[in-house]
Amino acid sequence: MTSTETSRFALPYLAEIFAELARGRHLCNEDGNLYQELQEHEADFEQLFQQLGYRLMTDERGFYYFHALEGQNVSPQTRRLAVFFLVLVEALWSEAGGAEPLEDMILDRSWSIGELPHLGRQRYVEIMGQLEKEPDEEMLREEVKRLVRFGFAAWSSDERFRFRVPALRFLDIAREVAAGLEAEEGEAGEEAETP
Amino acid sequence: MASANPQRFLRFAADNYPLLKDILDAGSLGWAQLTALIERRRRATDPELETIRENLLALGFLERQPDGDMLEMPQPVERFFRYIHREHHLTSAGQIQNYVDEIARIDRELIESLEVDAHQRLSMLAEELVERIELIRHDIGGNKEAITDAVIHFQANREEAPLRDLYTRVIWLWERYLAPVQDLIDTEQVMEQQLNSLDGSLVQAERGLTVERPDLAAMLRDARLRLYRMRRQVVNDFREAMLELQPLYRRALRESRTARAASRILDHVRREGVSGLNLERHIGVLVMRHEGLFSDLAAKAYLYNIADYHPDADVELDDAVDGDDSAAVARVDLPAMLEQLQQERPADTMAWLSGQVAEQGGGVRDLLMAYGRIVRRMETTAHAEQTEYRFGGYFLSARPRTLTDKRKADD
Repeated sequence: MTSTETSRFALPYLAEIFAELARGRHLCNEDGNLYQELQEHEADFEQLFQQLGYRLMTDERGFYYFHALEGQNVSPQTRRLAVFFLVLVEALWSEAGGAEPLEDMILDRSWSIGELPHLGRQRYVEIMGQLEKEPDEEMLREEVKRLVRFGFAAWSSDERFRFRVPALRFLDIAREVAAGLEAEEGEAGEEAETP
Repeated sequence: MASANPQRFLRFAADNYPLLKDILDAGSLGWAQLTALIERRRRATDPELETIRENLLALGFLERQPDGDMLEMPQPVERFFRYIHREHHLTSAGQIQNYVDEIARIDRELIESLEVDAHQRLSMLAEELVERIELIRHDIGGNKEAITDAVIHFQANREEAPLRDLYTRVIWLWERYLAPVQDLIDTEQVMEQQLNSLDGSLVQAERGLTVERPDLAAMLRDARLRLYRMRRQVVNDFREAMLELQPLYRRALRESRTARAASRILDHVRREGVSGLNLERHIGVLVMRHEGLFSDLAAKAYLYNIADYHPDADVELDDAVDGDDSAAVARVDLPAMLEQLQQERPADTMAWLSGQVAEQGGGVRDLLMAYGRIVRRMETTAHAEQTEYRFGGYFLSARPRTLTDKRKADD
């Protein structure tokens, strides 16, 4: 038996979990013990990390991640990942015609770098060209590596990768950002109409 | 049109039902297609192909389209067959609103006729009213059935059509046929007020005519009961249709919104670059530092302290080990307490012990020592769940233990 006054934060896999989350990784059930322990002691982890200045986010779809607080620096690289992901979403939606739900389409299949649509259409090349580097296969491979590092994707074999559940965050963000753009355009329109 | 003879019409329908079903499914068709359908369905005992084709036109199962080259089933016949097949047509909220407007007109005329004792007119108005009420009831019921059919079709035939197309239809069904009906049945809305007014008028008319014209009063009563049934059914049908369609609608809306959102953002990136969108702030991944695991040194030190803590280490009881329990004996009579425990055999040894130790003025060390002695030396059974115990200012957790019958061998 133990005294609970001091044992609350003696959490299993604490060091490993913290190290993964702090480097931006999203942990989901594919991460085995790390995810299981987070799930088991969710409140304790959350409280401990909060004390340390980190916000642990729990997503009901089954994953955890740190989200930057106001004033904390965020990784600018991730904007490239979002664009990379959204190109894939648009291509899937327009090519497969929504043959199955979007989330299933994203999570149920895998791609090799050569299969990606990013270099196949002029529109996508132009979009990817806005990301500071000229798009080529090497650049796409780098983006996939980053997606894997942050827990959004996993290599399923040497040359193929697939998305993990946390990648669905990009869909939430797309809806959020697009709503913001619409609101901005609405406001701009109203201002333009005002004599 | 020969359908003036209903028996002949229905007999032909019964004899040629598979052909009529084919025609219904075909929608509009040319002469060659019609001939092919008749040939496919014609049995050896049936009349000649030409006769069947003539009868189809003569009995009113088919009519020419305005351009003259194509044929189609007249709408009342088509509706009849779809009704039989439970293939219901959709009625727009605008059409239903028209019925409601007519009901409001009938309501006004009803009051006027009552005031001038125009009984003949009242009778005709009651008939008209019943017809409108039943139209609303059937049309909204038809909408519910049509929506249910559509939902079943979507769910059963996913592979046949792209989901995107199905979702477009779901959204169309919702926005055109369901959402406006919600306005109609909303208690704050005009329809509700008009139907309430009609209800009041019917009650008033019925009362006024009960003695003088019981036959008219009965007609109005029938109209009123139909009105109640219609209102009840409209609400039920609406609710059921909502339940059928809502999950698909939500999903459809979400999927198409998401796809549109992706395209919108990509358009923005293509035209204006990515930086203005602040995507990285939304994603919120912290900048990775090799050593910057904590935001300040105090926090770092705090975590090191935690890392040093060994939760599974044995509880130290200072010098109060087995065989040297004089400190505890000084405060609590341990042998007597254990003897009493043997006799009472409480369900939760720790809870019992806490009470005993506290009563004898013992501290947490005494409690832990006594408990340790019991666990090591006496046969106990532990429960599955941990329980928290409070002792003075301490919170202790343990699985409740109950004494079993025999003592351990070394006791």
